[in-house]
Amino acid sequence: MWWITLIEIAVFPIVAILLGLLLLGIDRKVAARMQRRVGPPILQPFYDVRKLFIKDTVIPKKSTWIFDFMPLLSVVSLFIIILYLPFMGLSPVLHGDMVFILYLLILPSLAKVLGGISSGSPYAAVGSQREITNMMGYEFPLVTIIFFMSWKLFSFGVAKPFSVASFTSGVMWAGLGTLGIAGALLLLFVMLLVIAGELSRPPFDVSSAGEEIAGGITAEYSGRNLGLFYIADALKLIVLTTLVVVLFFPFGISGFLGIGGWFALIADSIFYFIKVLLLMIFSETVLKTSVSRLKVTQLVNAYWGSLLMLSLLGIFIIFIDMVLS
Amino acid sequence: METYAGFWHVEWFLTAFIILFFITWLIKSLGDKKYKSGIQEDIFLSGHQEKEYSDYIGSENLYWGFKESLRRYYSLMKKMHNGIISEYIFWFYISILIVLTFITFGVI
Amino acid sequence: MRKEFSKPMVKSIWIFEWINSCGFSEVLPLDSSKFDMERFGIKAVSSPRHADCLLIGGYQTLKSIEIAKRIYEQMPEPKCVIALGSCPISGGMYWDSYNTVKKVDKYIPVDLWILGCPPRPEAIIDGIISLVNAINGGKND
Repeated sequence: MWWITLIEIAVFPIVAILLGLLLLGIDRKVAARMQRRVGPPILQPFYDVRKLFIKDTVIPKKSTWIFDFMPLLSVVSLFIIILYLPFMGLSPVLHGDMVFILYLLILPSLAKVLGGISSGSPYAAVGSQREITNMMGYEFPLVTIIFFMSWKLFSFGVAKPFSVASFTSGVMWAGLGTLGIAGALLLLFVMLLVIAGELSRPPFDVSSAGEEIAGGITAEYSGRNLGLFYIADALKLIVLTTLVVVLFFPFGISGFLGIGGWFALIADSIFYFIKVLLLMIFSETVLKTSVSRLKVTQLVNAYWGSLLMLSLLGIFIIFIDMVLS
Repeated sequence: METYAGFWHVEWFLTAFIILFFITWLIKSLGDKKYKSGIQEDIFLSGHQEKEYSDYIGSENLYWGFKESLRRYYSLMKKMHNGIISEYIFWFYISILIVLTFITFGVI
Repeated sequence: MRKEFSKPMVKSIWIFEWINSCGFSEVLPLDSSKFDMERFGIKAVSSPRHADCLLIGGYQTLKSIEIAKRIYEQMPEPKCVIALGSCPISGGMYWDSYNTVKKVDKYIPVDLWILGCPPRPEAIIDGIISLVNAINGGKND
């Protein structure tokens, strides 16, 4: 029924914002505990956003209308990606395929880059240049892994190898021996690093390097525009971890426990939240507290060199395993 | 709308886009708008004043980091592009040969 | 004309540091494990557009006070200024130099003075908490 879809279109993004900000708070708290200090309270991102929406919005003289429009565009594009992915363990609201989601994933970072360039500040221009290099880097391993899984679906004879629905049948672990599981774990490791790269977290946070270029891309943003970018950061966390959940762990828990109806929905949602939380901790928090920053000339070598070689190695191991069995 | 390997509903996408645009605009209007004109509107240059520009940097310098890290590859490519027409036709001939081999023998 | 520093803003204060020379040496432990600044929601940012509070420390010269004034005006409202150490108050150790600005208060309106040369991290935290309590209590000065 079409009006249920409309209600879901309106409600899911709000839930995603709350969930994303909560996850960000947990991330800061866990990172602080890992550094032996008491961190901020878990609801700290909510206070931050509320404060940012109270402050004045300063718009520099030399900027164009793009400056004001880009935070809107990045939040809207992230909302739309959430509608195409199975959020909270439920089936996706709108139906599309993986290639479409890959195209849409470029939009948030591109909006940030365009906003940075249009602000007219040299600090933001340098930050945008580094972010563009980052974007050109992480696309390669990401697309390799997703297309490999589509090829695997194609070799099993599934009709639509690119749609999200066929990914949710757990294709990664189907028909693998011990060697294949090692290869799949290698691909999971590469995917975790790609998440850190897309969110611009250490070691790939050269574009928002505070100490070097006075704030990076968002140097000229203040007030509600900065608040929208903050929300976009939280949403991107949810989107990327949901993408990894779709690729690697799309199982629900209600099948195991044998419950149905409303309890199945609640159990699935809690299980989804636990999966997303664990993924975020391992990809972001552990990296954030342990490694330093790569330089901009080392970024492309890291993505196209090391991560791509690792993912190709993982694909090769799985291929050998499928041929042998 | 069905393509070979996927599908996409255009009307739902546009509807969702418009609704979400409206929701985000509502969120944005929760914030505060006013600001003073004058010095507050200058861009931040660590507190210095802005000078007049003498020349502009072209936008091809935007991906300098990318070009710098692939410098060895670029220098190799520059050496290969030496402008001799017969070498270009040689490369063209080899690639057509490889593609025809793949097509006739059905190798994927 | 200044907007009020209202209660919801107190829970997350972002500061921009403008510290010359030796005043910085006791601010650095604030961000580390022992005297953790982040549990109050305070974060150090690197652009004055993101900041709420300007932290002026160390002795200010005539050149650097111009820059500090520009940075103060580029911060969005509501904002506050914290003067760190005894140098912004009265010239401190360098009171008889020709180059020092003796009273920063003449150029930039200061909300909170923290004494010490340089003040210990506990003193800085004590000062910030007294500012927070004053704001929560309804006073605006």
